[in-house]
Amino acid sequence: MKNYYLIVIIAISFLSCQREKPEFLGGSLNDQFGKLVVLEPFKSNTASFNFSIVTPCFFEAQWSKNLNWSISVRSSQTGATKTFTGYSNKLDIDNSSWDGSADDFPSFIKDDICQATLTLSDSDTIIELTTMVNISEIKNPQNGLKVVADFEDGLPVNSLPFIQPGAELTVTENLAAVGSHYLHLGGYVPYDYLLTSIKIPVQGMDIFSTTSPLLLYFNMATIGGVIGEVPANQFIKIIIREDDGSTIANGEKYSMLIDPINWDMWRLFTLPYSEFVLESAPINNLREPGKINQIEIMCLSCPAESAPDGPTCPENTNLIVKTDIDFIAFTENESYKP
Amino acid sequence: MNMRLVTICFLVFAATTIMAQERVKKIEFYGAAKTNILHQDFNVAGDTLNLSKANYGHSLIDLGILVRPSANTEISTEFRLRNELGGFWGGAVTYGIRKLTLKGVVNDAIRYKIGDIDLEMTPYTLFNNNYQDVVNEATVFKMAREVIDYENYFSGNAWRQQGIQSSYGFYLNNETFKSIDVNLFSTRNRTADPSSASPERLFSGGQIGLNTSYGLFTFNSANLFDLKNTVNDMNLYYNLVNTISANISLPEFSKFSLNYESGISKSNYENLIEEETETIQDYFWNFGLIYSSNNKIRLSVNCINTGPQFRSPAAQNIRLGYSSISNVFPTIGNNLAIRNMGLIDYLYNDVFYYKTFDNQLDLYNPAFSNALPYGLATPNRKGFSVSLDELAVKKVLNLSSEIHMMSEIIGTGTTLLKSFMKFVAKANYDYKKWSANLGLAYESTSRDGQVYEKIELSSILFDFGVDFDLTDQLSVIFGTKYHMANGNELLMVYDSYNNPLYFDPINYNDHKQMLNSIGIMVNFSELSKLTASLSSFSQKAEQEYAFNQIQILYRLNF
Repeated sequence: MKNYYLIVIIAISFLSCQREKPEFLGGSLNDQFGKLVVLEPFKSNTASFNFSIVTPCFFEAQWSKNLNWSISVRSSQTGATKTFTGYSNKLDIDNSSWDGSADDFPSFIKDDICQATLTLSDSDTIIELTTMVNISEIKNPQNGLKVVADFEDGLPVNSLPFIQPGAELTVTENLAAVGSHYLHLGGYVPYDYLLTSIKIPVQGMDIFSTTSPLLLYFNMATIGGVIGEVPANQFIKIIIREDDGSTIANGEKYSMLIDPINWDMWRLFTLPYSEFVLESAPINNLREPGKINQIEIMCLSCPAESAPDGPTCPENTNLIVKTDIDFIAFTENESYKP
Repeated sequence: MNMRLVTICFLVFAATTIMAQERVKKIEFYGAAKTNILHQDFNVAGDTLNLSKANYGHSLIDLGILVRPSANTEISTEFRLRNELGGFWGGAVTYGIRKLTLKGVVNDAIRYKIGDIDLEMTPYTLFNNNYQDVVNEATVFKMAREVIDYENYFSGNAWRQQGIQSSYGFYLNNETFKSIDVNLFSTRNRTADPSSASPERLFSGGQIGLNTSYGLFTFNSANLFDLKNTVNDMNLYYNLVNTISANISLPEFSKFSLNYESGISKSNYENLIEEETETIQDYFWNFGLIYSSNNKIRLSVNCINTGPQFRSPAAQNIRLGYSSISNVFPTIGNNLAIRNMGLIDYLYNDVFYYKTFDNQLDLYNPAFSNALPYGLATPNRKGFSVSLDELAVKKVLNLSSEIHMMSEIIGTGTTLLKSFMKFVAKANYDYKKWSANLGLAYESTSRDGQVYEKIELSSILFDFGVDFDLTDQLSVIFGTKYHMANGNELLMVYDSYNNPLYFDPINYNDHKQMLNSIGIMVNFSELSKLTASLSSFSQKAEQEYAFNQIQILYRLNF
């Protein structure tokens, strides 16, 4: 008889086993097939966002199922935008906190009035909800930020502009990437690649003397004009000079080209200094952030009629070059956040 | 290349044969021949683009040679020669080796088999689950079913594998513990494929059975695992299933006995690139009480609990590849939509049947099996079953029945659980020149909840057949097969770990299909049969179509 007890004990030992039980297996049927209903309205956690203090700024809402959502915040004054995306059934501090940055240039400004639009979409329903939010204070400057030129007070002191006949280099007040002023570069020079350039002195870079060129980012806001109304081969050349030569003129030069062809909105151009290419005769062939002393921005395009050194582009006849720039800055460890 | 291989094999074999003749002179020839000719007529209202007739078939001969080079060794092999209908002058002839097995006994104690071996253990470890479109089939259909069995190496519930098997036993000279039987095997489940970085996969395991005065206690082990360094490894898979089973007689209650099986499974998915391992483990138990009286009635009651993460690739399988498409009338309608396969395709046409198993749960068809689609080892099921295994009435009528009342252990996609009911009844009647068989399988699935959670699905599979012997050699055979499904289900789509990922809604709006066949069967001898049958098939579902069919099937075993 005791053997039966043994059998019963073995059986009970298995009967009493406990499994780790998830709520259910697989994806939620509610998420896949349930009806989309908004349970709590879309709103900001405070009426106005002050990004200069550590108080969290975020959006709130809740709906009936997990789905892909997106929030698009748009400034009514500057056109700055900020986008959030996620997969959840609610918005809270964890998934919609905002530090005041924009997706790209232009940045948000103080006292901006923004419209935020929440888009919820499942397989057969799209719901859009909007709310307004004011920006009482913009975010504090980024750590490790050194602004070289923002053109708010005109051309930087001791900068050296060069303007060919027919070209333009003017500080312009309009829809800037940051603030209210930017540097307009362009014009029509059918006889040379170079239209205009500006050499901007850089001081105080010794704060980056121990920074690796891999971690020093060059940042600049750029816009390329109206698509189709500018030459298809307009470009900007950026030359960064170091003072490691015997004179200013013979220090090492590192360059990079950008092609703002379809950039009809302000865009952030950002790149680690390590990716700039040596253009001059090498001295030590080391990119030394602490020794940067000048930045030259050259506005170029293939000329329509003649060129001293290169082919011509007759298709550029009467096409006005427009490669405006704004907010030239260095940042440490990460790109600039507009 | 094939011709050269066959020639070499044949020469080697012939040499072996001659040597064998010299030593023990024991050579046997056996084999099977088959001619299967089918004519099908496809009828769809308004279809002007698809062909409406198909005429095809084949003849084949499997020549088996059994050689016994010594008293303790036996070599068996089968050569196949197949010619498609219309393949004149050898134009459509294919040939190959169908089987090659060496078996023997070492020291009159250890039996071994090398080559093609049929393996079966318990329904939770190694088990080729039965067809899902069969309850108690008519003779006219059984003839066609035997062809599927033969072509796909389905022998009972065994899987045909290639490898080595050994078994031995010894007595313990003890009244309580009488003897131990050991059965071990190792087979090659998959060959390495460097192009997809799929490593060689082996399947190894065995059984150790302890015979006691109380009954048989068996330890079962099934292990499917990748062999490292057979390709440039990126992922490695390992699955083990260890179970203990017992059949225990109760001396104080002689009419009762207990059966029991329980065990664990563990699956490891090792990602060598990410250096991560995903482990999935779970357990099951099945506890039953059997009552049997005077060999006239046998009744069993079982409680079942199979965990949602229980993984047993060699037991959680389906024979029929439900997603496969027959090359006979593959499309339907003037929009050339893929034709949904039906009962006639499963039985006569070239749909796909799995010849082996892998680590992925196969697509199942809830219209045919939803309660236990992967057999008893179906994961995420709990409940009980009652089986009347046999009830003989006046020696002319045999009845059997079973009912399963099951539910999920954990909800799928929701916290609510599905409930399943499966009822099966079979009857065989045999009186003088008449014999009849009848089978009914009814399944229902239900789940309450919100509209999107609600499941209501019922299905019926009905088999009926009558045979009448005109003479000792000539019989008229009739059979019918009917399947109905109505309702909805959310079909689980699994991820690579066999966990449900998302759900595909399926609706059966009074889906019906019926296959009727009538024919004559000529029994030339016990080993030689000719069947000629006329069949009609109709399907009423989203796709409505009908088939008419003539089949001539000749089978000869020698």
